[in-house]
Amino acid sequence: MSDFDPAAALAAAADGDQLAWTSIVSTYSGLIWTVARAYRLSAADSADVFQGTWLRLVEHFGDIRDAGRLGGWLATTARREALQLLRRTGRDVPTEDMTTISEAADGVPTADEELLRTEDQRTLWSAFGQLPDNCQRLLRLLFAEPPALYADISMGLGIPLGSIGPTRSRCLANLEKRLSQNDSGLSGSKGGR
Amino acid sequence: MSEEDVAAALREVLQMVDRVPEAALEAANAAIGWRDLDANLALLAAEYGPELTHLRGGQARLLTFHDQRTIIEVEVSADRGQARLLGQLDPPREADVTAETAGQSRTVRADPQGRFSFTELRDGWVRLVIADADQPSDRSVTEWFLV
Repeated sequence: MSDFDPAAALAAAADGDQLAWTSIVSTYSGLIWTVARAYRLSAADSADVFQGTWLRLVEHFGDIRDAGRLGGWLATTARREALQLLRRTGRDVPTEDMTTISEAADGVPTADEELLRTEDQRTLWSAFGQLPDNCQRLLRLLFAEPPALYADISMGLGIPLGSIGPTRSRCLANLEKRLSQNDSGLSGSKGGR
Repeated sequence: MSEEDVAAALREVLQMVDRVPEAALEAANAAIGWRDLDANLALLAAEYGPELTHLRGGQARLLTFHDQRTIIEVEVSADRGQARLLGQLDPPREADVTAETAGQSRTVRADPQGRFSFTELRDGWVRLVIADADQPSDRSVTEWFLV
């Protein structure tokens, strides 16, 4: 993100400049995608939220007065689209209160395990799936590629900026504890030797 | 194992699981092509779900868009896996109504009562472009909506 200038990119993209537009898409693609994924949308629904967010930006270029808030605007838009999709399909809309300790998720998250090559990665993924939902959501956004700013993550999840650091620590500690309970940690693989 | 070791290992896993699909990136890069500076944007003013509309088919939604000069009401319902739109222009008038989607654009004529319909639309993002019969250059375009 070092040489990305949101104001210049936004102004050029609003004039139809494809390269400037592509630079905006690359910069924020990880943020937008992980917002959709964080709400546990399927791949198809995530793709709809992702595409809808970009269509909204093209539609509303003129509404963004402060280019420094572009990431926050996109994250908020993606979150709203994700929640609308959840409502429309009759699924539960998660509470946004990060201080609430939510129930541990019942089992492993969506079936992405085939992507994971090693036993350690599958063990980690399975432990991740047992974290409270708010932990899973936040960690997904924190490890988005390209990385997102805390301010934009806060908009993408509707949580206070100041809660991100402490929650990150608490969630990673929780994950570490689960891993050490499961087994002697990531290095001690179960079976298959 | 330290917190930061766990973080590093998790980062690696999440970057595999949450990688943005190439097709999604391509579609996003093409989204700039939908820029339409000349049309008036008709904003979504209200959306009612099945619980309020009592429409047939269970999954129907009623969307209301408006700009300065027109109101566009659209009922979206599912029809054997595809979407059906029934629309009404207010004030009622004849107009060309185009449903724009990523894959296709189709135009129908709203009748003198301002009614129009589309059937067999594929699931995805849609917007409607309204060009009045007597003032075709003065167009309204709705915000994108998902069918």
